[in-house]
Amino acid sequence: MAENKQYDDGTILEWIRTPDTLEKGFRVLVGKYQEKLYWHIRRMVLSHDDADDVLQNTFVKVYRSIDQFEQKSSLYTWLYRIATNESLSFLDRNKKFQHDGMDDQDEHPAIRQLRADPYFDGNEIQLRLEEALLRLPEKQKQVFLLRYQDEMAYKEMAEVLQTSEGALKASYHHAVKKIEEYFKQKELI
Amino acid sequence: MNENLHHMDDPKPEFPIHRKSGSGYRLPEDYFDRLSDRIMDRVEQNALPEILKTSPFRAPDAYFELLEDRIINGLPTRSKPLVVRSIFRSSWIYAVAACALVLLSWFGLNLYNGSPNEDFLADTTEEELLEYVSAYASDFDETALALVLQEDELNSFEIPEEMDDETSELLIELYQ
Repeated sequence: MAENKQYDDGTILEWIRTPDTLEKGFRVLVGKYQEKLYWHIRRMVLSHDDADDVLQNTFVKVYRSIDQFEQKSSLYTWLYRIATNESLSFLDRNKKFQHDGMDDQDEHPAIRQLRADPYFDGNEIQLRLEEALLRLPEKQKQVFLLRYQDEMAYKEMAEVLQTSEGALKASYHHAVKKIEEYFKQKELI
Repeated sequence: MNENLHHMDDPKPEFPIHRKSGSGYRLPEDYFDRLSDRIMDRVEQNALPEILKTSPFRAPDAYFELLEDRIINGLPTRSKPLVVRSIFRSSWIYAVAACALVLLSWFGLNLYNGSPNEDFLADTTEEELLEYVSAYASDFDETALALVLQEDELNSFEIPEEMDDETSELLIELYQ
């Protein structure tokens, strides 16, 4: 798996586009990007099982549509975009992530599930961050995760989310402000 | 020391550099482009507890070691481009098809044209016509003919005036 990281994207794509080396190329692609995509998806959908499903769907979609990848952006950015879209579709389909009509004092159902998750080691403050993120508009949440936790450059984020850098900076600023207010309201800072 | 030699001894910078002419100081090429972002990040990140930078999520042991195989095994089979061998590949098939089309068109036109083709009839001898009529007339009754031919077509049908007795008798016998 680690050795997959030594191959550049051009070589991987060349292998994938040649029928005889398709499987080898795709295997290397999966090995190179699986962890980055998994953590990106996991932070969005929260549970390991859901992240595992979404990650597999992401790679199936990549496999089916790699012939259409025109290399206008980097392979990494394109994969991130597919993973983001797959995660958003999953969140749309799952009612447990919707908080419409919920009282601000109610704990979000996804947080209750997270408390029981054997693969979540967070303390109360980290749980509260997840809750604050669940209450953000989806776009702001995306921007916050990519910038704050993945430390992705605005230029790359603009390609992933197909939004201008200026709009992303504004979204990030709003997201940080809302999370800060939420923490103050809960007297956590 | 020679100035050129001094530059050769410099370690190669790891990032593109920007040099202010004459000052001797250097800085990363995109330093000022990214400065405002970096300041804003520090201001905003300091607003939140440091621990939030640490991921609280964990994956099961050996998950990533097995993931690659699981994903590859779960991929849909990718069918190779199907090579279809056209039945129209050989040129002789085209020739046969073209002939068949011409024949069918010719028969179709003659079947549904309504009125008898005068040129065709002009080239046909009386004996050939009689032979045709005697061979196929029993297949048609009046009703069948009425169905096939329109009234004006029936009226336009003329019995040749110059018909010998033998032919006339034969036709009368056939249509009685």
